[in-house]
Amino acid sequence: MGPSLQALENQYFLLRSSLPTLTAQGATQDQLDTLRSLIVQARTNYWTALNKTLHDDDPAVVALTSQMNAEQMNIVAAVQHLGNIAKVLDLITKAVDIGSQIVAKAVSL
Amino acid sequence: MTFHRSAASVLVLAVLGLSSCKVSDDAIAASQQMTATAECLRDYYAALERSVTDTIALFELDSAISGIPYGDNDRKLQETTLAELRQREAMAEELAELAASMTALSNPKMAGSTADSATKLGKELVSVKALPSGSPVPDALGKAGNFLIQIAQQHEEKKAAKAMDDTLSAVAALFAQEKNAYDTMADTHDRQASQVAMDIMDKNGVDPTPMLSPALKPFGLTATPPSAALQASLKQLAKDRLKGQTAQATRREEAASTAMVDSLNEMSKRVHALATDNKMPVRGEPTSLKQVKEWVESLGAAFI
Repeated sequence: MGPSLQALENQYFLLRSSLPTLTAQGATQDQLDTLRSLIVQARTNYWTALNKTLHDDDPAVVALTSQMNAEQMNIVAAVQHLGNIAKVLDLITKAVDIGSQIVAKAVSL
Repeated sequence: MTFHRSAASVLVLAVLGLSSCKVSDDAIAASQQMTATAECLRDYYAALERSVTDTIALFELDSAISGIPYGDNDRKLQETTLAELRQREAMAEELAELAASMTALSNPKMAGSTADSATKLGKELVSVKALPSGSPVPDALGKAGNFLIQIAQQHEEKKAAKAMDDTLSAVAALFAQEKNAYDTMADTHDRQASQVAMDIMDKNGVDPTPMLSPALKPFGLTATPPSAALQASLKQLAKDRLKGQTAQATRREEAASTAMVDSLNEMSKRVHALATDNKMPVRGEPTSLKQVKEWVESLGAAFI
């Protein structure tokens, strides 16, 4: 699989699998709704990227993909260990923004 | 379908560089192999369409269970992909029909119908777009399509050999270029199904009774409706098996798409050999087709 398409797919499923975990950790309804919105955005980013051929060799896309993968590792750690849901949502928001930047960059190429 | 296949035979003969009325054994073999390969390609695309259709159903289910919104705008993305896959399936079907014709040879009465068949395929090839707004389809695909239309209309048989050669190469290039996208479609389906299944398990909505059959079936025993305690004790095992099966499903599809690339490249080489040397001694369809067929069949029972 192309690296950036794989990264976007992985981001969607990482966020999706975080929903039951954060629910179990006692996230508020507002926090869960925020997470759901981010999941929808990540899903949209992935499907938009799927429907467009990503230029994985573009340096900007490569850099963004690396950055997103790094953020996703932080998310995994935060969901598992931090217990601070607000912090987790901040990390997720940042990662999804990077995903959106990747898709926007690919569309412009 | 029969009409198109018999009518296309004249073109196939010309395509394979034969100037006489007799069909060589090599040309017949190539035709059979091309037909099998193109039909397998058609079936691969059809399976992928079912996968995407099923994914839509999974997103709807997920929305109902987990509250993640899924509306018309979301669905349009998958429907766009489906439309492109259907076009590719149609292209593969036309290729199979054209390749299947090795019967009515140089029958002048077939010329017009042959032209129709070639024109139809040619138009499919020209109209295939990349996955929405994606990279351009290989130029050769469109050129091959135009070529087929041209030679069918002008009966320039000598040029037809190169057209078919270029057509197969272009179809192979298109598939290879889009393989990553195909793999990810299938992977998304498998992972989405797995995620929804896990959520249903967490809500105690899954009956684990079938898991007990290795212990009960040898003795002709039947399980009673599982207690909450039994459900809880089997839940982790069920989830672990689900993860393993999901990973296995992904690997199988990736192996199938790799096998499809190999098959198309192999057929492209064989047709090129026949078109340039008038010889193609290989018999039997590409062996890699078997893996594609197994994957397509394995999905048969998996979809709703």
